[in-house]
Amino acid sequence: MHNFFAKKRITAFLFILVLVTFSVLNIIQSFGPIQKTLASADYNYAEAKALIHELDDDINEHVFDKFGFVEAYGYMQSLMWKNEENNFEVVKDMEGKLHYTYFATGPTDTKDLSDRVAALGAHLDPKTKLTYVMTPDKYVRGYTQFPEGIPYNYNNETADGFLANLKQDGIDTVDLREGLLESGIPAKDLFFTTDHHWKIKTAFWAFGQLVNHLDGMYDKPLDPDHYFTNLTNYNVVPYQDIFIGSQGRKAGKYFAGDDDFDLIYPKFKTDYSFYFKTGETEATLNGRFEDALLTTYPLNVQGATYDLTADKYFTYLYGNQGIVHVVNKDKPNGLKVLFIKDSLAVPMISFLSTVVSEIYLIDPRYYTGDIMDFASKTDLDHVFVSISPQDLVDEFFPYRSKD
Amino acid sequence: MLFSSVIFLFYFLPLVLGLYYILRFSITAKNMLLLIASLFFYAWGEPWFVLIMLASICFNYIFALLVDKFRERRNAANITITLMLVVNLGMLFVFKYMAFALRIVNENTGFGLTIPNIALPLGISFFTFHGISYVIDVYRGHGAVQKNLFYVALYISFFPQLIAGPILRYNTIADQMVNRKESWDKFSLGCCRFIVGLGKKVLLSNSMAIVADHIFSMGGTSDIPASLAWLGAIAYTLQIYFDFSGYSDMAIGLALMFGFKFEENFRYPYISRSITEFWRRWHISLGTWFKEYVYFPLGGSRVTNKDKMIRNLLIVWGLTGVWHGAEWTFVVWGLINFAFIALEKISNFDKGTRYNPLRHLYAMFIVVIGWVIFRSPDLLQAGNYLGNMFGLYGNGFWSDTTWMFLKEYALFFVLGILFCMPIATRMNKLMVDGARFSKPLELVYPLTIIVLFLVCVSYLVKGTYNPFIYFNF
Repeated sequence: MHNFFAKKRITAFLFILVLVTFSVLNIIQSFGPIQKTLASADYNYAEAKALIHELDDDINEHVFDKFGFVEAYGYMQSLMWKNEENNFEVVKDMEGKLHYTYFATGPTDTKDLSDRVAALGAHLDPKTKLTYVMTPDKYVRGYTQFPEGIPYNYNNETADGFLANLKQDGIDTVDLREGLLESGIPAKDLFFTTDHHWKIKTAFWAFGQLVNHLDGMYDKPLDPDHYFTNLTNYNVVPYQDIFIGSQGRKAGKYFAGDDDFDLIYPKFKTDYSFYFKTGETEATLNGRFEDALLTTYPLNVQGATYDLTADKYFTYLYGNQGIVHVVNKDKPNGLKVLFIKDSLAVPMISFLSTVVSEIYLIDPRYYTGDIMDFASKTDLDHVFVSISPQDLVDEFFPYRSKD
Repeated sequence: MLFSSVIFLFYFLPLVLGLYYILRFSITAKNMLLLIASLFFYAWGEPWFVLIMLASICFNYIFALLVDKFRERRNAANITITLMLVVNLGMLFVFKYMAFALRIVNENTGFGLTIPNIALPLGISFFTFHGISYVIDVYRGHGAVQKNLFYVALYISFFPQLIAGPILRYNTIADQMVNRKESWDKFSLGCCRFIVGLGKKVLLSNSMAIVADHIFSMGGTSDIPASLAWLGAIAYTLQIYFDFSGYSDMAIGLALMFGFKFEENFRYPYISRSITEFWRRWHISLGTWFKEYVYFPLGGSRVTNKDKMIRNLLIVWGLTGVWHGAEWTFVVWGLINFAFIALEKISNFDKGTRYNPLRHLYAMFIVVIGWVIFRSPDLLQAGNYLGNMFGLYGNGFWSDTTWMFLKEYALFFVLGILFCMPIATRMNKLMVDGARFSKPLELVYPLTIIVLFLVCVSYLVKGTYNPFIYFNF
């Protein structure tokens, strides 16, 4: 019996040691955020539950060495050869790429969303053309394969139905899923492994596809000599094993691995003005493509691998902003375009800026104005709506006909 | 606040433990700390509903004083007890059953009564039963009336058992509140028990919940093959056991850390060979409560007429079903348990001692079918799900999804099934008895438990799926 208690006593001692050490470290780590929440709290009994939630969030978000634990969790998942983690938060395909997915029995009905795009088209000045640009889903048809039984979300089929509706309404569409496997980019390199976005080279290819499509629509081709759409006229700076994307941050790099990142920017002379506004934050930058449209902070940031500010994809146009206005000072008489977009389109739009005069970008999640009013009241030649298959949901289409 | 949360583990628990042992010199100071901590623990999740719990404490305190005062006046005492039951059960009815009752009235009369949307206060079924237990124990003379409101409040609100039990009878804890002794051995046992319970909840129950929740969400409304339906049913069977018993382990462990000794609540129910035996091993404190306060007062099994015993069983199991939730599924689940227990009693099935795997299979079959009904949101979906399990809708047997869930959760299924059996108990015994491997096992034990704790923490910090099964209880 003595032995029985001896091992329990040692365990209890170790437990107390771990508990106290970790508690002290946690309190130190979350003291600032908790203090901030308490200082700004509305001490009203009716608000008590909300305050408790906020404090809970502070505590959970500021756990000591949080990502160390996430890595440990991911490592355990990989030891179990799992292809899904944390209730299908992300799943692995057959080549180890991470995906967002969910259990679905078929495509989602998006008629209401396509009607909203049609309403937007009807609201525009007659001289302004409208095109829907469907960016590809990370589940590339004809290439991606899930392990047996891993659920598939039918994003591509939903996108098919959505585009079919738009075509029925007479709206011009570009489907960048077409030709993706013939792009010359190896299929395994089309998308990041640890992030839901396409790689920058894929975005550059998509820019070429978009220019080809537009060249048939206007009297004056955007890139008649195929100079701007030729990758050899750009610097490609490779960064090896540097990127852990949004999906990788959920599962940890022991489960997900990491990604290379290519920074692409023009070799030729450029001159831009870049303005953005999100909430109360706004700024203007001027200069070359790499000075005005790129931020190298995510590429240089040290010791914050998992921080959102280290997300390499946000190198272009400072990520997602409520509204952006890019002026290409070298092309004063080119097209003026508006993109209503999600994040996938951002690097593609950066490259498009080399062949047009002005680009406005609106992110429906962060823009607080009326998108329809903006599109109809601004002098525009072309409006693009570019929302990826996975984002074909209400949040990204906050506009509809007033009828 | 949940035991399986960062705030409990790294803020609340160390702080309360630290202060508790600083106040070691005074039992009153320790109890005051535990009461304040318990109210804070409850209010952290339900700031408004703490008032309801405090009301429950106050009126049960007064009812007990009255019952004690009227001890010699039988009628007055009976009226007080009746009033106490009306108030306690009335409160439970308003919060838990009123919407269900109005729905039944509407369905059967077409009255179209407005169904209020009343939130269910956390743990109301537990603290109501605690209150009833206290007053009845005083009435029966099983414990002296508590003149000090503070101790009644501590009994009802003591945080280890507040939200999900085990249901403590007042007479089992009254003395401990004033005369308990902490010891390093008790504390050590408590720590180990708590970590094991945390592991059961965070690793086994939550993992099984992912499988069960996905399959049940498919199985009630659409067609799924038999293998998937069975897998979901088995996953839920494991989930509910490890959730309940894990929580009980944590509660018992925490109580031990503070010097309290709670009775066992689970004794490996899935090794049972009859439904009667299953209920002797499952949620023992609930079974004991119903036995003490409902079954025995009705006459129990020691009645001259077997019809009366069947009636008593029917009442108890009807109430047990309804206690778990306001839905027909719980009533039917209770009645199924009643039917099999009654049959076993009539046929003396439970008395058989010879081991027979068929008896075990029979018991588990009924238990699993019962859990499917218990888990389903309504009887229609329960029927659909059971139909899928038995291939009634021609959905085939196998599917890729079955394989995927089996493969992804293989380790958790294996560990879940293994730890349903008394393996850990036997290993402990092996060490105590000083068998050949006791020394190495003894060395491995502390390390294993601490690693288990750190693994649980990594799951919690990661924010893994952590459903709370007790919301409806």
